[in-house]
Amino acid sequence: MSDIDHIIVGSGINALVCAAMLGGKGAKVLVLERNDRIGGCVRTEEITAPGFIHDVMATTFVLFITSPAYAALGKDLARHGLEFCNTGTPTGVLRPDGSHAVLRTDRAANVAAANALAAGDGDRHGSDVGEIERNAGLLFGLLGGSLWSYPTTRLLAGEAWRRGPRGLAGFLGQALVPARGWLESTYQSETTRALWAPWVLHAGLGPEDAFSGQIAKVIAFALEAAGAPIVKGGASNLLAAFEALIKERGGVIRTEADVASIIQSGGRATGVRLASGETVTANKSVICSVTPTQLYGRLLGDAAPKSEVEAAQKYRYGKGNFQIHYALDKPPAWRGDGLDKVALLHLTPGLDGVSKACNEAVRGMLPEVPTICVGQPHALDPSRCPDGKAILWLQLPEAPRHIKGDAAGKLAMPADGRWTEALREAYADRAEAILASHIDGFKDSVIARRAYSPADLEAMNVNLVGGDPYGGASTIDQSFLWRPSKTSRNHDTGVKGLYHIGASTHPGAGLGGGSGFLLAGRL
Amino acid sequence: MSEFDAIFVGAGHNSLACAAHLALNGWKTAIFERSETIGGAVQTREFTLPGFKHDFGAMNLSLFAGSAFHKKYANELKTHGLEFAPVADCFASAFPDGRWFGVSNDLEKTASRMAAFSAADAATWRRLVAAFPAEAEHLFRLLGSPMGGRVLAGTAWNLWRKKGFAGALDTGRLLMSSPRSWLEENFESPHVRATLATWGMHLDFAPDIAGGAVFPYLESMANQCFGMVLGKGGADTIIRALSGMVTAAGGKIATGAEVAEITVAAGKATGVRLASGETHTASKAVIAGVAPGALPGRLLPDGSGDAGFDTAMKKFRHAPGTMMIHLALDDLPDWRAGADLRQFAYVHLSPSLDAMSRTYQQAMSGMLPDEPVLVVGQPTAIDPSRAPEGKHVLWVQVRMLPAEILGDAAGTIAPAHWDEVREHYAERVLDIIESYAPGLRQKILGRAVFSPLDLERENPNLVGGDQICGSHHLAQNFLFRPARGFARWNTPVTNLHLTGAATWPGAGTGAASGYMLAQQLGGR
Repeated sequence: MSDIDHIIVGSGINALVCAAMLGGKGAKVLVLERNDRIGGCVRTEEITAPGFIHDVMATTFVLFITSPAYAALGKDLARHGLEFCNTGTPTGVLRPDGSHAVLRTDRAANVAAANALAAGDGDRHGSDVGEIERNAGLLFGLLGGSLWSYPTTRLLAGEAWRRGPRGLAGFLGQALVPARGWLESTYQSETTRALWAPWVLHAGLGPEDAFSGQIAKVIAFALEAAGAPIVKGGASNLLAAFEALIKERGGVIRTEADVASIIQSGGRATGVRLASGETVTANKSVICSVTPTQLYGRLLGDAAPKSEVEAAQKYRYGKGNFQIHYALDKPPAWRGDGLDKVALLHLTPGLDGVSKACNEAVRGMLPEVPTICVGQPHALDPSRCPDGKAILWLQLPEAPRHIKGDAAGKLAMPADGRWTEALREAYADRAEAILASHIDGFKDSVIARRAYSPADLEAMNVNLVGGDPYGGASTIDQSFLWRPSKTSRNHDTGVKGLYHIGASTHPGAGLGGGSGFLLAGRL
Repeated sequence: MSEFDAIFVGAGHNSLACAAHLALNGWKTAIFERSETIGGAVQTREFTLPGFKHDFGAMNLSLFAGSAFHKKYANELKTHGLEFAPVADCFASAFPDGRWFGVSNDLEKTASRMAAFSAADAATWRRLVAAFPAEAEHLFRLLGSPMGGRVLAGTAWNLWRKKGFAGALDTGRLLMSSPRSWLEENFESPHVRATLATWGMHLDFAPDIAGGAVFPYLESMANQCFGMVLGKGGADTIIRALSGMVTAAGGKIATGAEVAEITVAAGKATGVRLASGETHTASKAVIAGVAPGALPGRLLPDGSGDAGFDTAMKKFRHAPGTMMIHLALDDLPDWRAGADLRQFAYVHLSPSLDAMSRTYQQAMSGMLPDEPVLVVGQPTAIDPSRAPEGKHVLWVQVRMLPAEILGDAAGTIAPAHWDEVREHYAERVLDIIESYAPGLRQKILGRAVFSPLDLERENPNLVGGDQICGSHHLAQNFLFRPARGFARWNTPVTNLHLTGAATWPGAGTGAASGYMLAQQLGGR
């Protein structure tokens, strides 16, 4: 008998939620992380200049604070020091011609603002987010529930009863509309379309993808209702709170503990072997928060079920991510009113611009005009940098994993298609030029810049294959019943006692901790 | 007493098939067509020079030849002159690197061509062909049945019984997958992938669009297993035969007779009023073969009485436009990639998945693509009767064009109305073909170009030059074609029905929506 009930491999948000929840049920949990720190995509470092605290990747916790996991753990995490900073202006967009729009956490104000851009657009915004509100039970049930379960069947049956089968089908059909379809048939103003189009990128989709219209609407609803909170002092404070809570509940966290393989005996997973040769056993389960590539390639080795190995080989990864961080001497002087307090500001020509850049990245090209998401953490949380200074968090969600060319035809490509430091900096210069065109005196205000290519992100975290932060393409053929593969049922793996969670599993990517929460609820 | 039992608005092949079945079941039917010629997008005319017969839109009659309607009425159709021209060498792609790949109905030929690109792909091809009959049973059942919860549940049930749960989910996933995801999973050669992916572009499925994988799959497998079929003398052979059936059974077909309004009384369609002022009554059904946008506010001036339906019809999304270039030629093109290409019904010029993906994105954003997808049809290679002795016609379909031009991806054509852009853009297309088949221009005896807007002028159902009458993306297919709750050719107006490519099961020459509706109304 081991003194450990559950081993959790990896320490991203899903692993931490799962560990904290299982600990709360009295189980003894061991978290094993191969890196020197926990957190996966949640990582905070002083990477530019002293005193400037940057969230290297994930920074906005709107899907966390609206999740069932937060409802269950929020109070305890707060007790361990977790605090959020929020804003009344969660997002906005700024286009090359200077036209811009800002979303507020106030529906009436948003309706009025959109109506001012084009009569009727605001009313339709009101009815769209209202519809999400009315459908919340079904929508969040499907996005947040175990698919192969009685509650989901009951939910669907109940909805079919309440709406009639046609009503339910209508809801599901509407859900398949691509963002372009939703935006073009709903809003007249190009600026309002531009406000929402970039958000589909944050779900790993593009504006022509099926289901992206629904996702954009859900995000619109969530941002309006809950803002775009960041963690006070840096996202690492969330990790510290989780670590304290897990320990308080009797759990153990080990870093630099690289799991090399899963040990099976009598047809079930009984423990793990570390790269150091050490073995650890568990009484009840081994839970892996990794990609299918890791689980069925490396960790299970020859013992992996053949059908799963084949499925893992066919598993598709999505676009890469590119991050740029700035330490600035002063807050940016945007050429546009009301943009200085916006939590996440998108720079894009609009719907067609997002479509073009996204299409270029899917084809392996460096986008000519990338969509740039600009976070301004200093505006929400002054403790992130010295007084009077500023920080910018830039995410370019349309970066090729493997580079075939430059859509602008300007940058020379490495023959092997891999990211190099020189290419990374040259591409960051392209983004910087866009930024400088929108901010007075931008270049003079830069204290330091630090860029991460998709390859850098993968080097930091083995689960970001090709720099894909969403654990695999989020297209509909790889979502829901097919995430990660047709044989996966509620995070089972085909090996008894071995479970699979993380962004590669239902309900997919995001900081909601959904898969960890669902599995902990079952075990 | 009503004059007719059923009145049809428009004489597309679905209307004709529906009218034929109803007329043979004793219904008094009348078809009113605004144009001088019947057939909708299936027409054959001498657009260039006398003796050169060009298919206006649709050219491929495989779906008709394999349809339930043809199965039932093969003899009647033959009596009325239906003749097919079977194709052995179905479709091919020529590539900029001078290579080509094509699918013929002879498995050994296709597989050995494919093996030259990849032995693994050739093995996969043989495996897929062997498994096709079992897989096709489910897909054809789905595509050949009236759409509704029952057929979906029935298909799922059969799949589960025959293939087990994982197998059923495989089929479900195929229906959701993008062409790229299916092709990259199954084939390694970029040439093979591109050749198959082009079938998605015949609809509006660019390589990355969910729900598109099934089209390259079905088309390539069906061509391999059953070959392809063109019409002898022109695709309008089916129109001539269908109209013969209708009139022989006592049905009336009027051309140059534009329906201005569908008359409604107490929520029930009662007949039509023509633009000439003539009115006609129908006691059982008014069947409109029109694009959904033509109903609310136009054919139904006061709407359908159901605001949700009217909004859905107005919001019905059309696919990107197309251009047609018809050439009369001295000889078939001399394809640089190989003389074998001259015997294929279709030669596709669409070099890679990435090029197709880019073209689609450009069109969706209102840009003229710098590298449009070209479907080059060579009907006279199969059926020499369409041109004078020794001469040929070329049928060039230019895929994925914007209806309204906002810019030019190549940066050489200033955005303007299509009437000003048409000839410039046709030159771009001919330049592309010339690069694959040098000397083409010297062989041209005559040409006729139809821009997306010209196509719509000829036939208002081709909105913005959309030849498939509406996007087939997941949100507008299956239960949602043309809109949720109206997938069975019904409308909120009693006795008023929709048929045609905008309705389930979508575009193509299979007469499926017309025939299924006819059976629903008049019995088998």
